[in-house]
Amino acid sequence: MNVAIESATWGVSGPDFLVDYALVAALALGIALVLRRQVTRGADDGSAAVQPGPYEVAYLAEGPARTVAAALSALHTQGVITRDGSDRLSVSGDLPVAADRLDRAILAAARAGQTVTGRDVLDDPAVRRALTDIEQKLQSAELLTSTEDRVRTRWLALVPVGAMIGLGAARLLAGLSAGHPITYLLVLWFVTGYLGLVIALRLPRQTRAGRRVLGRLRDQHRHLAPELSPAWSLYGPAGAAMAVGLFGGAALWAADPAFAWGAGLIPNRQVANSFWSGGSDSSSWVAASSSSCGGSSSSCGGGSSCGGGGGCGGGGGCGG
Amino acid sequence: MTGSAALPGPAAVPGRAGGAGAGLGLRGVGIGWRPEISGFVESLPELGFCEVIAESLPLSGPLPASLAALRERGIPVIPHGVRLSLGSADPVEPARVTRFAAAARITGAPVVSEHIAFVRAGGIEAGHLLPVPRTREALDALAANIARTQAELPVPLALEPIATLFDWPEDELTEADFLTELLHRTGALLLLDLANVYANARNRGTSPMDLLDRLPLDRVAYVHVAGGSEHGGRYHDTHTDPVPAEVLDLVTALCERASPGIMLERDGHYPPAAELAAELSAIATAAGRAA
Amino acid sequence: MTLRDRQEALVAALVAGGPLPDGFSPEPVQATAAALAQKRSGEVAKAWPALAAALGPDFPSLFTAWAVGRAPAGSAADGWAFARSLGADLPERAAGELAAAEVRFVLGPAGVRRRSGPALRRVPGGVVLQIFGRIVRLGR
Repeated sequence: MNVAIESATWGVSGPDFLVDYALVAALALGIALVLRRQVTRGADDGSAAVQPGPYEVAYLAEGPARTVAAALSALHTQGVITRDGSDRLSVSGDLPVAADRLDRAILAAARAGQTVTGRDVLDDPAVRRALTDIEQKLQSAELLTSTEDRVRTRWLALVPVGAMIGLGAARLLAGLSAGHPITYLLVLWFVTGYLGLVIALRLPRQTRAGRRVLGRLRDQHRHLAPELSPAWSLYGPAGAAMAVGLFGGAALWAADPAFAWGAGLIPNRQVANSFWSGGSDSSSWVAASSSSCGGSSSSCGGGSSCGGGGGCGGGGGCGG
Repeated sequence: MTGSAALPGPAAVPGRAGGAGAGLGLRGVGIGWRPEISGFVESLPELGFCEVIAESLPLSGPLPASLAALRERGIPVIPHGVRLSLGSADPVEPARVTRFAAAARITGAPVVSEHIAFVRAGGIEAGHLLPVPRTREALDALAANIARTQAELPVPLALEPIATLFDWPEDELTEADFLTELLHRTGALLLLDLANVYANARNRGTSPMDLLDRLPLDRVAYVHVAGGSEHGGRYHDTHTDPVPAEVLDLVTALCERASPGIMLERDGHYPPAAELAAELSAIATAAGRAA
Repeated sequence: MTLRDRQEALVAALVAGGPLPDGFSPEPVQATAAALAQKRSGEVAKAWPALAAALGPDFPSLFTAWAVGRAPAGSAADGWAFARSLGADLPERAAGELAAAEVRFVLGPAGVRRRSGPALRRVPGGVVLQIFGRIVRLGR
């Protein structure tokens, strides 16, 4: 009896401490979660009325690289930017009068460099400033969390989480030096500590209103989803930019793989992924193997009865 | 973005005592629904009906969201088969017929359509619609395959004569006689493609109006129009070019006698939305000019 | 000759390099064959976007030249066999696409079917791995 009391670290038995620590962890994680919800709450339901344009959507969905990709896609669709044989971009036309500030900055960067890559454009100072403008607009609409809010929340949430981790660490060290078994506490400490740090440090860019707006726009623009291979020539520059903004590289890949490479927007290593994860209709591949539809998988099926995209420029018996 | 022009609705194409297709509810101007342009098709305020490639539909529900939205609005969606190969000497494959009938059911279509053509022979896929010889033997083969198909279909079948660059040396009947006989024997309706009428007449050096006059127009379920272009002295019905004025003239000529629903087939090289909408308006105007 | 024989002969002449069947005028049939070849190459380009993009404007003529005398096996299988036939001339970017196809599907005599287990392929500067249907490219 005596031995057991003496040996209990801090006078609290191991099993008791485990229960206490679990309560402390629950409290600390709860506080961190509440703080996190504060920062992602953003605008209330009024923001449902916000109708961001394609570039704002791209920035909201992913950030600067996707925004530049969306802008380059729009400019390419208008014939203002073209890709040369060696995968660089050059200016091939003039902007419409009502062009966006980002469009003008990209074009100036492309003109200054004669030929550029997508990366060059992204690193251009004027382009960066235009992107920052977009970010601020989204933050003031409370679709994106603001940097200051995120920093403040991080520090605030680290207080309870840090205290929890510190308490656990102290007990572990004490237990270890006294030669007590610490396995259960170690596991609990590690799991709660990891969770706590993720909750406190990895704050989402988008507010809940921002996520709602994106979800609504993806639904509203489902015709631009890459698996449909939407015709950018039909939907125009704004459609192209919105497709890339909402659906990212896969949309660009589905519409124009050569330009995607040329713009340096799809790294070579992603080609496989882009192709197989929605950029192309891999279901037609499987259909090709089924015996009932043997032979050419989409000769007249697959929604393009006459070889869409130029497959049938001069189709002989195209008598569909 | 998805621009749209006001299309004259059903009212612009005055109703007449119609032929066999009058009860199908296919009126006004429609367009072939393709995934690439689904947003545009949905955006058309006065869309009369549309067509979907039957083989692209899932075997059992649900319809693609865009088509479901059109059905929701009460717009007829007609499955258009392209790979049954009704004109093959071999019997039509039962699995394909089952699939075709399933397409009719999941779209709730008033009618389905296929081609008077074959697309494979001897285990080789041609990759497109090929003409059958206009002989008694081919009529028998077609009629048998059509009867097998009709036996499983929940709705009437409309048959579309195709465009072809060549004819068979063994042809015994004219195109009009062959078609009239086939429709008479099978009870099928006619899906009249005016672009094919134009293409065939032009490539044979005959008059498209004469051909139109001799076709069994009382059997028309609905009408296709499409664009094409000339290569090497031949007119190719590409579906990737604007509709020529001569085809619109055929629309006007037809609409002096009947008032079927008319739809545009466009399969690639899509123009900006406003241009495509203008093309639909031009079709509506051509159809209404007879009024 | 039955209708069946005549149809077989015509299809063979149009897409598989067969002789022109008796009685047909050669030019219209050749024009149809050319249009079918063009359509076939357009469909292969759709199923193999990286291959078509990497070969650029040369793709249709290269593919059509390869396809002469070969009966269509479907756009997936046709593109696959064509990509393999290029050997060392296969552009690096298209090699990634071919590897992605090879780890995911099998090209057999009956066409393309899905692979059941994991698979690995070397590509210039790295490897492509498929496990549980997911594709990962390691390296460059």
